[in-house]
Amino acid sequence: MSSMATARKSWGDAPWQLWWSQLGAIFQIEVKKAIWMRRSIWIYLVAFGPTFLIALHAIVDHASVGVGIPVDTEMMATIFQVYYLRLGIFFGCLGLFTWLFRGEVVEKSLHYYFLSPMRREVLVLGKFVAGVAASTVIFGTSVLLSFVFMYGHYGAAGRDYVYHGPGLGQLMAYLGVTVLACIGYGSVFMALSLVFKNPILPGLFMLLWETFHAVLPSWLQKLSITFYLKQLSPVTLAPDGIMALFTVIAEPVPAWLAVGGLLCLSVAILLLARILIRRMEISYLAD
Amino acid sequence: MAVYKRTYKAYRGAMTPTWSRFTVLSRYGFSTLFESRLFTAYTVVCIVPFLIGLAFIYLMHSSAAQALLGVRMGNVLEVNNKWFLNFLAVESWMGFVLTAWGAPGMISKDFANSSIQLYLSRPLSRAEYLVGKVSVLASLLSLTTWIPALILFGIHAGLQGDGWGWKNLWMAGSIFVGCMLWIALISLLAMAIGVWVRWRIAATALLFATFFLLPAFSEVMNLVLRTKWGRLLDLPYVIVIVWRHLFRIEPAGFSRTNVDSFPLWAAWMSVLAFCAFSVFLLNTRLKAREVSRG
Repeated sequence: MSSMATARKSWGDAPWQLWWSQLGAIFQIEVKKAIWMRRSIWIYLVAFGPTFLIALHAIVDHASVGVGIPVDTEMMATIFQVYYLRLGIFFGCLGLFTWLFRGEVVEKSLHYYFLSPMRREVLVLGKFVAGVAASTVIFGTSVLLSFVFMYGHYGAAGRDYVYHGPGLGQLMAYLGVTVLACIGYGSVFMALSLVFKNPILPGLFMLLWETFHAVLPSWLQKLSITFYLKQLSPVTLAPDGIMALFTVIAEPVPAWLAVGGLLCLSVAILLLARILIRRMEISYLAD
Repeated sequence: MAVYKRTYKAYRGAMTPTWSRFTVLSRYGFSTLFESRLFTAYTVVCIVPFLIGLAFIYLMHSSAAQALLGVRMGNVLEVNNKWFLNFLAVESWMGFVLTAWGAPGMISKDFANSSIQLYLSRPLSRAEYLVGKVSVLASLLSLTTWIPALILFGIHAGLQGDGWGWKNLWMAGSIFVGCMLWIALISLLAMAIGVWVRWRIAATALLFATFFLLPAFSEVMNLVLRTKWGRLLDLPYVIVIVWRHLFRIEPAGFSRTNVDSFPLWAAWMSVLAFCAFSVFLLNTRLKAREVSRG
């Protein structure tokens, strides 16, 4: 039997239904842990802090109806790109995805998963999908609410901007970029938590890389997640402040390449995580 | 001696003097930190800016060295208050990473493993426990911030002559006060976070978030509410305002946005409020008893 035929037979014989139900069970447990646990409060604060401020803005600046939509559009873009993309989603994913495995080590509960008759790849995938779902729900809701508050207080003018202008497209783009950011950052942090006992210091290096990627040569800029996410953002912001002096304008990449590139990067990191989890041995001593 | 004969006896050996009991914790704190080779290596890296500063001052005053290296250092580069402020800014950020690396592990382990009660059941007060832990950080940060800065100040004063040292003695005071303020702020904050967040990794992340995420949030606050008071949450910004005042540097052209009128008293208030809040958090949690809810 040729190797191709063997592979096809093993693919067909694989217990897909069992793996699927195991994946569903892990997903349910992990989503519940990520969303409803007390320690997730700070992630809600990070995500909904700007939403609260925008709600205040909607109440306080109610008088300026109809005159400030372009200003608020730029404000929304700044908040999304500077706060959410660079820091909010970054730190949120750092907390959520690092906890997926290192948290189990801290709580001395990872061996329950490892002792159950389940492939470790299914465990990695289940935890990753749960992390993506939780982070997407939290940050997606906060971005959606921010957008609603930002344009909602304009009344008819705001509705017109959203339904008959570029508003709806911008909202979709913001939500899409949020999902991609959660997938991109999430995969990196999950892999880091499997490699390092303390993934914060490599995380700090990544934060610096993502923050200062604009001053790097254009080919190095393509190795950062923010580079692709910025390309997909609906409103382009001009470089500002001292960074503008050193910014290197890189050639933009098409949207399909940006999305595909990010997803390919995440799949590659997940494949690496698959290798790491198979080699993983539990030691509860160090943490 | 048979085991059944080992009955309880009170300790009759020499006692550590009351005033120096906290040093026992410091000693063990140092040894735990320097067990990590990476941490030791990073501590050595923190001395590099001092060596660069030393070389710079030497080169500035040695025409022979300048001729040998083929460089001419005119009056453009001057060792003055701005030079020392920049030196301290670099050293302080390196010291911040040192704190974020070392501090949470020093204290959060005691809480995570419920061993704080074991410490406080000895003749050691809560304040002494805290001083013991903070002194480790304070010593390390002093060795990488104000001590090298004062050494550079002294060397430059000696080489410059002409009464430069006496004329600029206030700068030595600024270096000391500015650094002590920074050390107190990050040490207390790191300890407070370590006490409340029992997982070392989360505590480190939270410390970084305080210094990176809060400034971004303050920018959002300024932008959305059209105010400048969001800066109160921007710790790196307010500490720079205080330092610039201590180093007698004019605020013009300094602000990152057009808001250049952030008052000095507000910056001081923000720094002191963060310190006071950290002390409050420590006081609330640092207790010899714990209520477990199961």
